Amino acid sequence: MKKLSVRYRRWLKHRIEYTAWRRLSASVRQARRRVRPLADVWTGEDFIKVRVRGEPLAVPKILCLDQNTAETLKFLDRLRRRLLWGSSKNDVKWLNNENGAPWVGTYLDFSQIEYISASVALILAAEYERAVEATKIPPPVINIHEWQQSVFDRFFELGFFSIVRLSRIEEGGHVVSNQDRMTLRFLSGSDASEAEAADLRLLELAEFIDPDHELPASIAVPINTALSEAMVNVRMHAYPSWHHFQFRPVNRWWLTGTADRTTRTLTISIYDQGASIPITYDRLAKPAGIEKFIRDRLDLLMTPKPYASDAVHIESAMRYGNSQSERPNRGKGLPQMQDAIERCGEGRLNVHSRGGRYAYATSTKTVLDTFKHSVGGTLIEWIIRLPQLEPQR
Amino acid sequence: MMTELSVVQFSRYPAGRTENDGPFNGAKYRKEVLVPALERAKKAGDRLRISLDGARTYGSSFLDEAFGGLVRNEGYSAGDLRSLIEVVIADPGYEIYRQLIYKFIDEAEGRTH
Repeated sequence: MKKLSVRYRRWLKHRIEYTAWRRLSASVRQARRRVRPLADVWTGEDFIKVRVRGEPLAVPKILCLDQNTAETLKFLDRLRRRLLWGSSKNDVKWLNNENGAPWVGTYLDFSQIEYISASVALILAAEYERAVEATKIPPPVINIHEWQQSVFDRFFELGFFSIVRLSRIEEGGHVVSNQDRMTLRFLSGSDASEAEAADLRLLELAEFIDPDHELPASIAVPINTALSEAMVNVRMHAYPSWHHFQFRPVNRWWLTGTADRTTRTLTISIYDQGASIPITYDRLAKPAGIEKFIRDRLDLLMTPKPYASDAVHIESAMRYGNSQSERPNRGKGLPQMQDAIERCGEGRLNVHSRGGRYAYATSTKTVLDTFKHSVGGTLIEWIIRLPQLEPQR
Repeated sequence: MMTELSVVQFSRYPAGRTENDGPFNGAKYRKEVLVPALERAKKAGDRLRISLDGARTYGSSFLDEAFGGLVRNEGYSAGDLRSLIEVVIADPGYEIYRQLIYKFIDEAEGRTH
């Protein structure tokens, strides 16, 4: 018998080991597939069991633009891409199908969320609504029974489940799940014709905090004015025809509010998926004085790309408005939004637009920040502490 | 003798410049309410008293379009308007909006001249 060469022996040994490894890994793969849990998925019509082939994607525990800004913006960016990538195609299918068995590769695991702010829930709801509008089919909602109760309540109160056709809340109605906190069902529109509906919601929030007093006009009128100006701004500036949008917008704004009895705090948020202030403001012709203001501020800030100048553009827009005048606080829309905070006494204003944030508080100086990920448009938040009023006689 | 006008009769929620911004916009208020009332007041030799109380919004886009627009679009001068119009408030919370009206009238004249 011919003796095997060393090289051939090595090759045979390698082949045996490789075949054994392949058999083993195939059986492991099969076993894994067998034990992969089924997810409960709401499809917009029914709950079904769906096989998940990959690991669920991690979601930050805290989704809040105050407490965990960078992670929250990164998550929103990821969510937006997952929801809207390919949404312009005619036959979008959220679930795959193999021999009649539906499956998904992976999904964003909302059960990991421990806290979500009303503003982030509003942005998320707006993205789902845009996806529904683009595809006509609600994106699947996965393993709702595993979501934290407070997170579920937040989405429920906001009206998120009506977007995915899981629940219906009467128009104008609201649900209060927590005796100290109330989140309003979101309101959406394309111009200022919803100003009255916004005012009624504001009154509801104020009544929740203080049932014995109506919100005084000295607070209600500046806030309503700021909101109506924000709505007008969306109509006039947010969705310009010359801008190329990465994902097709639905040319609307979304509004919600929360009331916290323990701190007597009202938070009002309005969001749009528009081109953003840094884009639209940058395009406006500005006098030399304003251009110099922007250049000087940019020199002071060391900010990361790609949204390096965003916060400065927001600051300039808040300071000078959309006017082509150099006069500060000229009374145009954006400055009037900040004015509302000053009139209400104690409060804060946050303007997130694309990658920039402008934060104004009555008690501290203005803070500018720039982040790596975009908020996907513009979010304006008013946080107002209601004054303690004398008991009525 | 005064001709009286109250913004709240037009809407509790006046907002925006044009029809695109909402149904109760500044251009509509100017054309359909302010200009006819001003003409009536002029003919009668009256002043026009405009009350701001009761409305729930006073966006600068509405105020500028309605009152600044009288100078820009309707041919009134700021001087005419100051002698023809008296903006009145009962609730001091509306004082800022009263001031804004006069400011927009003056600024509109500054822009047209």
